[in-house]
Amino acid sequence: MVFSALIPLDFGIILVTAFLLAVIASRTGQPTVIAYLVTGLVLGPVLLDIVEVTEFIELVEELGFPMLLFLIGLEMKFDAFRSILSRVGKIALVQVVTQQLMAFLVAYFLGFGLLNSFYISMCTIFGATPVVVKMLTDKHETSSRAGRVDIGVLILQDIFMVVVLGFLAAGQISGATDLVLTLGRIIFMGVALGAVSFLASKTIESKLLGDLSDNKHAFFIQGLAWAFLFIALADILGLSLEIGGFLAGISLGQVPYSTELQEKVRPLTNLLLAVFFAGIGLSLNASELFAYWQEALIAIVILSGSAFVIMYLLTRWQDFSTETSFKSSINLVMMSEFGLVAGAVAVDRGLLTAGILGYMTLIKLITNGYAVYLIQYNDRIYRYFKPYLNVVGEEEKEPVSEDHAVVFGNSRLDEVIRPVLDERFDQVVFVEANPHEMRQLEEEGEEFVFGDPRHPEVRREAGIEDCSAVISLEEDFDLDKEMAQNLETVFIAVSDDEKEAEELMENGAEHVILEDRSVEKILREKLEAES
Amino acid sequence: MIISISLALMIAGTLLVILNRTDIPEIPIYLGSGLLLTALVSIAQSRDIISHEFIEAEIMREIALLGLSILVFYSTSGRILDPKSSTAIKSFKASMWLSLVSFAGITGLSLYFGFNSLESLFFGVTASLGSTLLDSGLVKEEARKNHIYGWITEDIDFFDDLFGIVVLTLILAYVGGIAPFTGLMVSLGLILSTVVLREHFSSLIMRVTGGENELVLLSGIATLISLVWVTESTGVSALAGIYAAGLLLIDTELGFRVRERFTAVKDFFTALSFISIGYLLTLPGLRYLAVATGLVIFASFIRPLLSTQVLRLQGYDLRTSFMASVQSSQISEIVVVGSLLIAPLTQSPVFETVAIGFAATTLIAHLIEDREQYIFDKLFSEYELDSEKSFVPNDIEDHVILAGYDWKTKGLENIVDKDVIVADYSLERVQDAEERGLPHLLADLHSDEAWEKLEVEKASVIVSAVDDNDLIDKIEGLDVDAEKILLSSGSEEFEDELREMLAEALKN
Repeated sequence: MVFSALIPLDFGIILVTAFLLAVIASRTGQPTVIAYLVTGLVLGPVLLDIVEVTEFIELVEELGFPMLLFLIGLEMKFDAFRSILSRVGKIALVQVVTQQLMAFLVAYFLGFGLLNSFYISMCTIFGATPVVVKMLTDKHETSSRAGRVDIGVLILQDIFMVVVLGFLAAGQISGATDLVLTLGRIIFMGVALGAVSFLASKTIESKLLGDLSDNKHAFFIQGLAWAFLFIALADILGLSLEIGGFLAGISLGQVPYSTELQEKVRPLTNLLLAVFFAGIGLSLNASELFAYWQEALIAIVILSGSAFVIMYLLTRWQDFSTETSFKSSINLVMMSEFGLVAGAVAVDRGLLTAGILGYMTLIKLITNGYAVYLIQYNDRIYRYFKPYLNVVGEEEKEPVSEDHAVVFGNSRLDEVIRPVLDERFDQVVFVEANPHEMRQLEEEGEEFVFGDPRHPEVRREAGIEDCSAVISLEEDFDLDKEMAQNLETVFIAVSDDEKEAEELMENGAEHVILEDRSVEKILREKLEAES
Repeated sequence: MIISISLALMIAGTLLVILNRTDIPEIPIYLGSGLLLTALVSIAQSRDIISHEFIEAEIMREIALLGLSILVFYSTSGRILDPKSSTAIKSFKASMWLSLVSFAGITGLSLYFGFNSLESLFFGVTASLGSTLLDSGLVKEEARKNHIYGWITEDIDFFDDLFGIVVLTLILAYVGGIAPFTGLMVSLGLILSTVVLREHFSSLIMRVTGGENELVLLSGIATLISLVWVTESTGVSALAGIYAAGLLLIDTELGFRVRERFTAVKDFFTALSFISIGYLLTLPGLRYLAVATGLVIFASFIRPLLSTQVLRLQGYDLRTSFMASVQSSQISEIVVVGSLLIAPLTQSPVFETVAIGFAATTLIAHLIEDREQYIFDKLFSEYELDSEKSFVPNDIEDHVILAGYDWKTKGLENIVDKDVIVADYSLERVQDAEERGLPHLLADLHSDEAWEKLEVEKASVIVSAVDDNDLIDKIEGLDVDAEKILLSSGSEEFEDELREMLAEALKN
């Protein structure tokens, strides 16, 4: 080949393989993260050894986890957790400490030595945020009590892990004083950077994003620039890149534009993560992966089991019902990806060996293997064990939702139809992508979600899953068709094309209002009167 | 490199904010960010603040190529492909004629002025392709609304791209040392098979992925990578592969879903790509700057005027021809990809010349955007729509004027027992009226002359449902006895009707 490859070959092989394995993973109910890890194992020294980690791949890898944490930060809405924050905070604090202790003891008694066990315990946390959040979302359980407990605990765990990452990134610790100083520096820098990002987001960045919200492309790039600013600052201050990404995200998570930004960041993050997790697999070879396979199996039984028991006891301690405690505990029995990242950083800094990373990778792979099925069928499992449990507290009830309608906004028409909707529904939620209209809705005290209705996260935030009706004024045929096909609730669209209207009805729309039909009707009436 | 990418994005983010109210499009801003990055890095390196490996040019080039490929893939996948369209054949003829003449003309001129054959061929192909990178959304909107010039532009762009891919593949094959004919056959074969197989491919992938967002995104990337590999493995350049990958997704459910998930990825890599191009850009010599200027003038001014004339010869009215021609007056991003591919293999500053031309035409195209009607009025102030396309009986009176003949007003002639004249600026609609045996006028209804020709003084009723406030104001301002039945989406009767329809729908 005379021309240099347009798409770097190794990079391309990773992505194509990741796609194929992700399809298989999806079919077997496994999360895609596992597929990406296996991609690296298959392509790297463990199996085929056909891909090298080039500079380009390293660059993309480096971006993956900071972007994930940026996304996680964006998703954090403190308001959603206010009512249970103090209880969840206590649970998380005790859970983290006890899990770390368990992990340390297990590692120590498995023969890893004192220092290694210490580092292993720092990297071993149970509760995989991206996987659990995704699965809860797919099951519509994020707003259930158990779901909110899990998400709250995961958020606080992630904050803890961010500090751990920073600590590991600092490299070798020479003694207790160094340990204290390093931790202190990280916490101080982290808090300072966090305060700066928080203040700046409320003032400057919120305004900048608002100014750019007319232009979706510039809006997104500005959001990314914000993320990268803090990623770079974190790097310069000797904190980990991930801390920077997280702080940037959490600071923007509280402004109205965060949902729209989330939707834009998510696909990019998914792509970068595929390469990131493949990279972890690529960095291992067979001997390293299976160096401690027996120890891994023993650790899984003890740690996964104790993770469930600890979480269950702690949630019961905080007076959550039996059902909530059971379900929230069973959701958190898989090892966190954070642990792998932390492990990879520790290996990079010479704190752990690749074999120990292999040990942690095995734990991750295997716990993920069964944990996704536990989450998927947590209802059934609870019902099976219910007779044997001391059932205490209220049964989980589905939150009673108001009779509400969701309107995909159109500035021209939504004011026209608002009187009809206000009369018919208790609440109307507008999904509005136009920032001027959004501000007007805000001034008028209307419920709204800022964002593009094409984005699933935006629709979910508008409560599309449990609304009584969705009215689309967008006159976007592709969007309307997707809604008509997939929505289980009443869907009404507006169209200016008869053929498209027919197709929407065939695809499941309850009704399509032909705008032009009403015009034609009026014209006919007037002309007939005139004649 | 993380810090360098962070710096690049921060500069871009800052410039985007500063220049937001100036309405300058993003691409020149990114190019400018790249230039600014070069300046800052040079200063920092000269003061030993950073090392010379702070930004690696080779990685920037890889990023630029990857980003542009994703952009071409994304743009191509969003085209509207409708071979039954009444505009397709005429657009094909217009595009081929224009592309061949432009290519031959500019290549010849370049050779005449002493440029070597590779350079001349590249300048020729640069001049022969238009792009709607900026306007692609608007063009699709116009096409959807059945504004004829939207369709024409979509079709011309499609054929232009095809021409460009063919020519660039030949050039690159020649440079790459493989038989151009082989390269061409491989490329055309691939392109043809993707067009034929796209629906099957879409069904297969949607079934396999179950429509899951993450998998759909990966499938898009995998499609692009796989087709690029197919072309590269046969020694042909990747351009045909990128184009074929985009064609494989056109007008399919998979294409819609991929584009939905791909937008953010495209935006990110586009930004990085153009920042990288800006970073890699160096000023070529004066001769090449002159060429860049010439290409800009040709692409932005001469080609649209030529195109207007060619479309007129195909039977379109002046306004439609002009509006269609002016939409694609930018240098195509496909050529930029080609020039980047060839850059390591030649000393000629072809890449720099093309990139500068691309940036300039993007800016000019953006300045023209939304001002096409104004420019048209200035250039053709004496314009009168061709009277051969109109028929208004001399003795007509007490008639009904249908101002705008779309499906809202079609058929209204059946409920009045008076003579009806149809007036519209769209040739197709007027032809429709002609086929129904109705008097008709092909006219721009904003002009007073049009109303004189419609004998508005003698008319009894004027009906209009065109959603154009200026036109509504114009008609309301006519000092005539005719009854005016005007309806737009802002009318109260319309709003009441809409509320009634919605209440009825909710009741059921």
